[in-house]
Amino acid sequence: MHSRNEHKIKHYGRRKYTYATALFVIFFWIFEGVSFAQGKGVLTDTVNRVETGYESAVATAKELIGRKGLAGDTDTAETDMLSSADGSDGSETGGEGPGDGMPEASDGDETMTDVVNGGGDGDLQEDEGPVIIDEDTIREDEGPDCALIRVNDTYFDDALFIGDSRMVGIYDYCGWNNATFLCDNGYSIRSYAKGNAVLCQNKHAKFTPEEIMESDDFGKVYIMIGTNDLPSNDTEAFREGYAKLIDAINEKEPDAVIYAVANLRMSLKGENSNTGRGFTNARMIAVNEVIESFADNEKIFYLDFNPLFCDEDGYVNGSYTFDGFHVHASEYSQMGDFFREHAVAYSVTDEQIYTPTEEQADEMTETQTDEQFATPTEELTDTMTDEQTDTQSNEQTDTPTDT
Amino acid sequence: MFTDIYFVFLLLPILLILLRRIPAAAGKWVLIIAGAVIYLICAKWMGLILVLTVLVNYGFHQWIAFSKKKRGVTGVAVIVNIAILAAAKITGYMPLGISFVIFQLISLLVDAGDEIVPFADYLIMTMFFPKIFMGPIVRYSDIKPHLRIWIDRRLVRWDNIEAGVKLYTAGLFLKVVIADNLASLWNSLMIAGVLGLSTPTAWLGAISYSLELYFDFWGYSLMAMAAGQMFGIPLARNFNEPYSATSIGDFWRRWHITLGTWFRDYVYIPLGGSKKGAFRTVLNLFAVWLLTGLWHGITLNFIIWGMFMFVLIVLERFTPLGKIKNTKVLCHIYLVFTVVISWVIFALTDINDLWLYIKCMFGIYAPDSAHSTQQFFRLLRTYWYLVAGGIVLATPLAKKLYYWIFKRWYGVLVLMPLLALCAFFMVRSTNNVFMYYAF
Repeated sequence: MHSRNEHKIKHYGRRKYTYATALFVIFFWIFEGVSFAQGKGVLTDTVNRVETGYESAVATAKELIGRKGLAGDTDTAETDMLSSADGSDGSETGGEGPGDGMPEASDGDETMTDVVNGGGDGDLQEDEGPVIIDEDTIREDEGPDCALIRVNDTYFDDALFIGDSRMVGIYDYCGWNNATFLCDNGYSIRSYAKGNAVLCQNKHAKFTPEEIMESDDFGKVYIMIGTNDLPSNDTEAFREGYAKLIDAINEKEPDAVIYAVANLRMSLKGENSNTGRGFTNARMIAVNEVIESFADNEKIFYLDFNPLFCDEDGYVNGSYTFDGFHVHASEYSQMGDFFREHAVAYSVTDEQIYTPTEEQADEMTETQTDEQFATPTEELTDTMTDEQTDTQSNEQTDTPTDT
Repeated sequence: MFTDIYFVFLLLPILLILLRRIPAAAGKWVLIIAGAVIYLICAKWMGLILVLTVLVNYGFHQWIAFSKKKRGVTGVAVIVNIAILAAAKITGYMPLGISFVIFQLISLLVDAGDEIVPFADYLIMTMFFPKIFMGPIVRYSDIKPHLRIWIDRRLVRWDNIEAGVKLYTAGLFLKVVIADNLASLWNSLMIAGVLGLSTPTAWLGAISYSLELYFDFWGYSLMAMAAGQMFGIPLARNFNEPYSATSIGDFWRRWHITLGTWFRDYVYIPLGGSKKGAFRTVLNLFAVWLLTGLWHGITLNFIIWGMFMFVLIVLERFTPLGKIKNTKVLCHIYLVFTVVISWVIFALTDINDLWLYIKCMFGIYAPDSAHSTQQFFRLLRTYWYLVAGGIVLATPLAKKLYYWIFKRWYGVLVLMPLLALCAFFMVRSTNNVFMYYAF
């Protein structure tokens, strides 16, 4: 008896790893049990709690050290895997977005003049007229305000791009080094509504949209967000969150034009592999409809480049994508061109945010006829579906007013 | 399976506790049944094909034991197994783990000779669940002693568990924290498409793939070893710091060791090895490497990969290239350079893509290339510490670190946060937690 107990006692030290692991396992399941009891399901809430805990710990530590989050210094610790809310970051197999080529000359080769600078630079090589009105995007309820025209890359000097991994792809491949990209994998309206900061790609630090609009001035804000909201399947919450974002932009940047960009749809393969997780094309279309409802053609414009990539069945063509969610790097040039070709020249206060060159201005007045105000014919309305309405085209006033 | 949170933190402890209480004979059957259940859950219906193959092979063993023409029957059995593997690969109906199990079966057929293997023991030798998926291919002579009842009254012993826990955590860390997270770098390159690559990105991707493949497989092998040890059936080591090798020949004595020795003992040596002159040696090496490539996959890139290795090994054996292993620094540069390129060949099944990728690595871009420097720096910023950490762990430093931590008293204090970190990543990638799938 006596010696057997002694024998056991001597073994405690020799089994410390086993005991430590056993302790960990027991605590782990107690933790999960507590989550479950609180109605949060086994395992589902653990990561959230850890991430939130980690983020607040990092934030507290930073405050103690006296650093603020708005500094533009490179802080790669921010981009590590643990500190991404909602599991968003490059460590998921969702991957990051691809994009398009190097900063190559945009087509048209116009040189852009700034409102501030006022003057043209000469060197105009125009191949097509500047005013592009897409006939198949004429909407019934459109009120002609601004024409959507083609611009070159300097238009994006004061542009803010907010989005998820597809926006990261645009950052990667459209070559707009001048613009500000507030986007990262996994970013969603849900994440925004919670007040989570997201990585600003060109500043290498995390900000919330409000913070970044406070620190910089933007003339245009592009929002392409919603894919990562699909699993939660809560259209109302999405609408509320999106409205909150729009309000925030209106408050911080009252003169900015907002482009509410429709989310790129999925390929059939992408949907099939991810239906179980809540990603379906039908939900994507529904989310895009919510986004579209915010457009007022005066300050908020709805852009939809899905027709560039989708087949008749409404799915993205499989040849454009590897995982069903992101197009190849080489396809991002199409997206870039789309943004360049659907830009607004005037802000909501009629402030000219893009000065057309003389020749462009001439063309504008020439082509200003009743055709621009064409009401949709019966034929057109019939063929109009959600897939085809992308941009609104509006009338341009005769004389641009300079401020 | 090894990285599934319910397996690691629920099933494994329960199995261990259960097997501790019951004698070895019954314990073996508990292991077998539990293993079969785990396997069939993972492999689903196709797993039954594998189970059937194992049973058929047991029949062969009995036949060999009672037949007079033992070698003939063995030959038939081996051919049948090869046929099954080839059929599986060609038709694409591959039950999980079949490549490994078939090779295990062949090894047992040849080694067991005419010994009569008890059924339970045979099932464990072939379908022991830690090694059924990607596990080491063990030798009959290595595993037999551990299955004899009168040596171990119980399969599960405390000191084995103690040792196994540390090793399992290390393997888990490598797979779940390092490999799985590095995988998304390569994945995002695939998403972008080969035309979206710039030269630095291509190298970054290739290096990260090389690291990811290593830590994935090595981590898994460590977990298999640990699980085997915990259950009283130690399994062979599969990796020995391969990226510290001094030549490709040396590399293959350190990478996936059990496969290399399998090909050596069952293909190379029976064909004559290096004992029949230079020409014959080259031919034998050709056969070995062709088969090695095909074993990994039947698409063209795997054959190219096998031939790539074959050429290098022949050059190392018969030309002055072989002297590279005597250099101090050059050999490591040579090895990393060639192996990283070889893994790119291994990774890309589309030959077009492969060709574009390799050209991109050397600065030759396709005319419609859409490469961007933006992407490279962004990837670097996101992944640099994983890649750097991976490179450090790929050196002999990893082993030294492991022993240094775990031989000291504070090793226990390191274990808990390590487990917590692993648990965090395992939970995050659990399928039912869909909200963590991020686009």
